[in-house]
Amino acid sequence: MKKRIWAAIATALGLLAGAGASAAYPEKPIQLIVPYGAGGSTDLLARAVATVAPKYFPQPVVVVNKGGGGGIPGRVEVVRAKPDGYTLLFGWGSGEDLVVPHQRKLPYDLFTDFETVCRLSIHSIALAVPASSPYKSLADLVKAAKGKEYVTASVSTKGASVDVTFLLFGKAAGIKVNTIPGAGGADAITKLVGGHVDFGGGHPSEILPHMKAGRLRALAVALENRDGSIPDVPTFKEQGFDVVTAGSVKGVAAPKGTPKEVIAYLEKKFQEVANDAEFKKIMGDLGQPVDYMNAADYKVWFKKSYDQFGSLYKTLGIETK
Amino acid sequence: MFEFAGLLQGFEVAFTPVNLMWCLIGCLLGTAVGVLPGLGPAATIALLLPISMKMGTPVTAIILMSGVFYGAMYGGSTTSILLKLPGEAASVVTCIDGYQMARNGRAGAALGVAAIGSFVAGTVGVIGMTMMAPPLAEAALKFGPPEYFSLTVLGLLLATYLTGESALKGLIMAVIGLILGCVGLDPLSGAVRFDFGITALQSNLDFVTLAMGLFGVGEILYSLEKAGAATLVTTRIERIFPTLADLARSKWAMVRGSVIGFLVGILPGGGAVLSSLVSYAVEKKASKHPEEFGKGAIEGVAGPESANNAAASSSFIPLLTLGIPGNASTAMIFAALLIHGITPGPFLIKEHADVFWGVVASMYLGNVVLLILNLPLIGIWVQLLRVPYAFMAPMIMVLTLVGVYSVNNSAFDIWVMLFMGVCGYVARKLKFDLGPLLLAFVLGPIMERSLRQALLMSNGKADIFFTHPISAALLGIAALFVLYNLRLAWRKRREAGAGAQPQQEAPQPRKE
Amino acid sequence: MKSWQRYAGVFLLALAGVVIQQSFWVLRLFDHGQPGSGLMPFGLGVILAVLAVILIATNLGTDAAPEPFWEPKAWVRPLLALAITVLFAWLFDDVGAITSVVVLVACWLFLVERKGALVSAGTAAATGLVVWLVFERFLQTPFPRGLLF
Repeated sequence: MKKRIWAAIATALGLLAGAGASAAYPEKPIQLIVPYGAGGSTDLLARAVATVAPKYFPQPVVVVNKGGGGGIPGRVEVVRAKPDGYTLLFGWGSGEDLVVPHQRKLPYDLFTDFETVCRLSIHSIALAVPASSPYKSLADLVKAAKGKEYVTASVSTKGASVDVTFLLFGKAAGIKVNTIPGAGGADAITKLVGGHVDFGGGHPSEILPHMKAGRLRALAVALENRDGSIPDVPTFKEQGFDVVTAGSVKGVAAPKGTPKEVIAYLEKKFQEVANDAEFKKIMGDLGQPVDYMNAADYKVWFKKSYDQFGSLYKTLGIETK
Repeated sequence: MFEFAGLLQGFEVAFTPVNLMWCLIGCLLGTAVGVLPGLGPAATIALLLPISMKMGTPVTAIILMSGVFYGAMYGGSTTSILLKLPGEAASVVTCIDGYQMARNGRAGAALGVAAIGSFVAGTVGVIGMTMMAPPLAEAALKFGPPEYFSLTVLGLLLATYLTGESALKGLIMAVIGLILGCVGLDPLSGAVRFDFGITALQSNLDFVTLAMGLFGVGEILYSLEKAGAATLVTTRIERIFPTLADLARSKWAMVRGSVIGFLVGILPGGGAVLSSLVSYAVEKKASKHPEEFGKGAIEGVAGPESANNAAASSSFIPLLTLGIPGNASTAMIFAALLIHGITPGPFLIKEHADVFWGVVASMYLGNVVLLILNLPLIGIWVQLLRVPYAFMAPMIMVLTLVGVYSVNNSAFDIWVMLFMGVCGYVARKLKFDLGPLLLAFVLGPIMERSLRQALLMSNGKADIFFTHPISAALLGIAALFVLYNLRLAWRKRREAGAGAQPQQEAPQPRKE
Repeated sequence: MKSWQRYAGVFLLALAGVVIQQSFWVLRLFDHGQPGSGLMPFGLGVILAVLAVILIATNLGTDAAPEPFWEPKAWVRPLLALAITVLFAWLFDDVGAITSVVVLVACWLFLVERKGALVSAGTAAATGLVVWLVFERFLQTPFPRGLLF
């Protein structure tokens, strides 16, 4: 009798909490660890995924922000997590993975501590100035900077792709750029909008709302060709500065040792999410391109981009450790 | 400026049965997570995001989420007052006098004043938002790194004078709080600091863990010293509701708290925390009986609780008019708006008038709902205090232990909390006040970030803090404040010296 | 209390020493001419050291009426409760959360508060049930599993 009441209470509560009855993976909520603060571009992407995920995953997909510390603590957390597929790194392929390892030692090994799941999106890097700024093009900016001791630029995190891109720009243009790291993309943009720095930037998704509102003016984008989400903005190359970076890539990774079938399952599910019409619409609203790539291809692509950044560092002589 | 037609349209939106229902649910849920330690409003809103996509219109979703946010501000004071467990940073100051009131059998009055103050402030905040959102948001943008640094310095100085037993000890605790805020990863360079080889220390310490340990566990251990008859409430619970005299006494505290909260809350970052702090300091200076502060002064509850609620309302201003979220909760709402295809920013009011005014109107309603909801709840909360402390103590301990675990799902946090509990116990025994430590811990990262950002902006020259007018003014106020207090202390010391016998605690403080 | 305040001052001075040492030699104040990781902690360490010295200086001499750190026997219950809580933290990961909660409440009531065995066990079981319902079922906290649950 008692047992029956127990079971009844348990089921009722179970239903209330939305717990499904599937035996195999996943049998509890899956955590996407976003190693940045809420409101940044990676966070927005993760939330877009979590929003459509209930259509494809039998369990809730929960976004957990572990921001700060240059994106490292969030990654450390994933490395240390149980490799059971319930803790995933979201944002695998950001500057912290492609760029930072060339600068300093990290508390984990990039290639042996993670299991690649897939790529979801690529975010290019755009340079922007406040709308009230006198600079209308990179040439204006460089001309003004040459007359000054230094110029200031707000970037999301130190050593991340935006930071490196601006340092590369400084080198290419022969000006001194003091990059000012913040607490993530949103914080950096706030400082830029407030006019506390000479220029700044980030991913199109972060600056697009302010461009529409007439608060920011994008001057250049650091891609080989123009970015589809901001087609009016010329590239650095068009303006005579050889600044091309892979930008910030957003993928998913699991801790090393996660079972093969779990990886395959996640790969398939994320592909379904990426192809979902509602997801594509949300991503369009966010100003982020959907750019899915499966685990095998992404692994190769990742290594290639990683090496590219490495040689970039050497040729430009940026401090490495 | 006052767009009456817009607001009217907003009420039409808010009064539809669906929106009314979700507003109520949001407020209920918010109160619940505010009361429960551990799970905060930001996490709750995040959990609601996928559900919100299922709702027909974005207005409904935002009404629900904002209800959770300001509802949590109402609920947050409950555990601070009853159990000295601040559930969130903005309620730390409430612990000081709120808990003392509860010990004096005036828990009902404290809770009542907190609820009424929250209502007044919430309403003031929303009215302010209706009237002057855009220009204020513009002004807040003027706060760059040097301004932030100076603001946190001023805020911390105010914090050290909070309880006033000894400014020296307050200052020491504030510095320790700032140092604890440095443990873990450097916010700017990502370097590991003070981990002493313990990997779990490499991610930064968590506020809830620290607060529960220092305040909660420390308090339990301390209260266990008095064997046997010790109860949480030393005298009988006299009345459930605040008396008219209570309200008359806290009237101006609420008004001042509302205004301070509204203005400071617009600033991104530690708005709600700073505003509760500033309000407490102002109340203490304005009060005719400053000696009652720290011993259960009702203004010490009314002011800060009003301030943090007004700040919760006004933090929507930069979000909705500039597209800049100022704290974790509004960042979640920011994400929700974007996912619904609405770009927060100056065009939101024009392009999505129904959303803007609908949410504003729902906040008017929500504040009424919360007041109606919370006043009867006070009676129930106060009954909690009738549980014998012998049973309450282990229950509170379990609640803190499990609550702390549930924040990060980390057993290491339990150990950290226990360590902090022992520290809190010893500090309590040596009459060190813990309030400044916690507040410094929250403000520390903002302070350090803005200090280093400002120095980067100026290429290493410290004069940046004095050449920026707002920053210079804030530092000037801080300097005057210190000088004034030093003078006061000097005078007191001389008087005490003239009045013969130099006793233990009395003449010692106010020295730097 | 003056002697205890002095001990506290010495402890704080030692703490300041560690902070200064770490931030000056390990973290370093400047990083390529820009403010580095150690800058703020170093400043804080120096301030803390100064404050600690003032604390010691203002508490020289002896009290008119010396107060012990603990009243006679006042240390028993806090330390016992602390020991039980440490036991909880130690059991938590291996034995499971709910079991640990039951053990904590039962031991606390029985040993610290000297309640009867039946009352202690009953209250403990009820607390365990409530924690299980609220945190594990409703809030879906992924508690460590162990014996029984």
